[in-house]
Amino acid sequence: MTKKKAPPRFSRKLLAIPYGLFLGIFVVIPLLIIIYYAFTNDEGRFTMEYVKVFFNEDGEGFWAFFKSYNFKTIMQSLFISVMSTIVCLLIAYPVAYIIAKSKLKNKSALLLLFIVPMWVNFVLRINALKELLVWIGIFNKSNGWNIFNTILGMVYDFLPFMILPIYTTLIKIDNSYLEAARDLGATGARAFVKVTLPLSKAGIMSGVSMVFLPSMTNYVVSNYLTYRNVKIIGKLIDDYFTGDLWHDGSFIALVLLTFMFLVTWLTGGFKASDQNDTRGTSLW
Amino acid sequence: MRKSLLRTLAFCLCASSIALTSLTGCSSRLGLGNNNEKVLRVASWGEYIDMGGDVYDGNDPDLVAFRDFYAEKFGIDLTKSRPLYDEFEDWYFNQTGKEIKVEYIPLQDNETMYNKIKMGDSYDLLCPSEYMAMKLKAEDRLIPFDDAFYAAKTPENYNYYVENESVYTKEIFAQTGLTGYIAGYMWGTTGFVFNPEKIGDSPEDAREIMSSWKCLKSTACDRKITAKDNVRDSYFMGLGIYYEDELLKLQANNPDEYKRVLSEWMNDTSIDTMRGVKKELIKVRKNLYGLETDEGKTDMIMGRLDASYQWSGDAVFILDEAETESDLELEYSIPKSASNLWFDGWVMMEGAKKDPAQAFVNFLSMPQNVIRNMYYIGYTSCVAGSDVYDYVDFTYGEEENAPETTTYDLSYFFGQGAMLTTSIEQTRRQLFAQYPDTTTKERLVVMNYFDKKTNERANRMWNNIK
Repeated sequence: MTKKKAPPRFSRKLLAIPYGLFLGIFVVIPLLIIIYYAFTNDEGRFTMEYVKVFFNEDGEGFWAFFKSYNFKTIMQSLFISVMSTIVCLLIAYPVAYIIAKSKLKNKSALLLLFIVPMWVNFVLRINALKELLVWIGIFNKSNGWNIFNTILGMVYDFLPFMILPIYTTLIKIDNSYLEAARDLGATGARAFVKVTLPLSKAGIMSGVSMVFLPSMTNYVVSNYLTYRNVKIIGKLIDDYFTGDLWHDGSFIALVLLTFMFLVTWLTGGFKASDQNDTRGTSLW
Repeated sequence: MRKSLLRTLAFCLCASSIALTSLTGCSSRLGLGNNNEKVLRVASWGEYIDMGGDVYDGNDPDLVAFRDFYAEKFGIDLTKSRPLYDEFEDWYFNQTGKEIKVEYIPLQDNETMYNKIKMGDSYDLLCPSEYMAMKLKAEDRLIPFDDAFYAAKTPENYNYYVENESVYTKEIFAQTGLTGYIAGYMWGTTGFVFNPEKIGDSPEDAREIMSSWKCLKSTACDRKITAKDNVRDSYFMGLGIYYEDELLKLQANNPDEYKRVLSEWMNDTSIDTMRGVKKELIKVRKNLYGLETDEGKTDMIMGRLDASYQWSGDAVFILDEAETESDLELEYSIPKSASNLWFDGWVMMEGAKKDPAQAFVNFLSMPQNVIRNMYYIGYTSCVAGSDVYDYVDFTYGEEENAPETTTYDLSYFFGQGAMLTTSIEQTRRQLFAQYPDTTTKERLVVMNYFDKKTNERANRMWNNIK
């Protein structure tokens, strides 16, 4: 018996078209434009001028770069991002753990408590935080406090992005693994380190990249909370673009992209499919 | 594996290029933006035109007084008013029998406006600041106003702008080479808003300190003062410090020479000068409480900040609000050596719908609308005329023989005989911010636009220290 071949009507692949379009228009093309601007001058000719200017602002040689303001901004930015990520992780993991393990029937209600603040406009939240800092008396007191306040603002903003992926990996962990570990004599702490932690790695990694990368660029936080005394790399890029220096701005954007690439690579974002994937743990 | 990645990438590229061509195809066929004959696209700033209606509701005594003054003068009830651009639509229909719809587009700043134009957006009427207007003109993006726009006002036409334009601002437009291309909207100075009680030892001391650019790096203002987060205002501040001593010396010994070099020096962007300015700005930056674009207003009003570099119109707003909100008597000062004179004006782009655009400018220049705008925005209009003078008198005037009053000469702006009797206090406060006195006016400089190379140098310099 010969079965008639079904006419090619609708394949599931077609569903990917909107995403493909989105990716092309909003990711690939802008990226190409940034690269183009970073390495061409106003006449559209290839130039390394902007690379040179970035590393050698005052014409004092390459090593002067490490004393330059650009370098300081990048380092400061990195420090703020790393600290924000660590603090977020330290807060988010226990929270996600407690929610995931809670005996409550409706865990999502608990989770909601942490997500609801996100519904309030974030500029508004940062402004409110500013008022609070003024009230406490640590607003724009010194450079140290400014960095502290920036980190605080970043954590306030991005904490839910850390909680959510960790929570999703934690609730997916099969309880029988833990029971097996306990049966084989592991203490609670040991079971956590040997079983729970490795199994939630995917969530931690997506959380880390969800917090680390935006806190390099979210200069609204540093602007509002430090009277523009703390400058992060996103603000540097913005300054060049508002000053009509698109080429300089584009090159710095490329520097930033390099960082993002590195972080994504280090956190394993490029590794295609872990076996975890099939269970939908790497949500983000 | 690799193959599939390549395929995905190729697919993305194809998809996006298809999308792009179809998008551009669409836009050229439909004419995104400017082809609709019935829409006037006006690009300006937020809260830079009177919104009418709700603005005038309320029982605040100052507001009630203004409402009464206005009703008596023009016989119009302001509580029934609407945004001026809406009222323009009816007015234009009555005048010409043609329908027009105004699309008022508030933009963030001059740089945003410029970037939008560069990306191909088009507008019928724009309200850039002087330097951006000069830049746009230098790039041949502007078209001149019609001769008919400059014809004298008769009962048959509605040339309110020409009828009431101030001689003072007219002369300034001529200096900038913008005559014929610009119709003035608002103008003002830059200076320091400060709390005389909080700086120095006494109010007199504070006034002395704040009349010098050096206050920015003085210990008296250490971490008490803010500056603007933009390259032009910062560079001007730096220049002010850089040339202050020499300018003051000339001012005292050789006024003619002072007049001659003032504009030249305060527009000096040579490499050597910029290096000197950079040194000064590094010191200033260490001394500042911070940089701001808008936050400074609120913090001055709340009394959290003691001094702030501001545009005159914002200064008026701060002084008003600080008095009503926090009971603070702030003052405004302009450095003695030199300061900045700025203006915003209406210009038309290539392809603009000239008739309604020019009518819009004239509509905004009608005395009753000028006064509404000045009341709402707090800035000073480039339009003079007796009605506007009456409004200034209503706001700042005092009885002639009252104690602590003085005569304030406004004839340079309103023409002969405009001698206002006002309180001494006002000569340091809102009135001074709105209309500088005759000595201060001689020290004001219009700052030119930076050309491509200068802009590059100035931005890199400033971005590297702020």
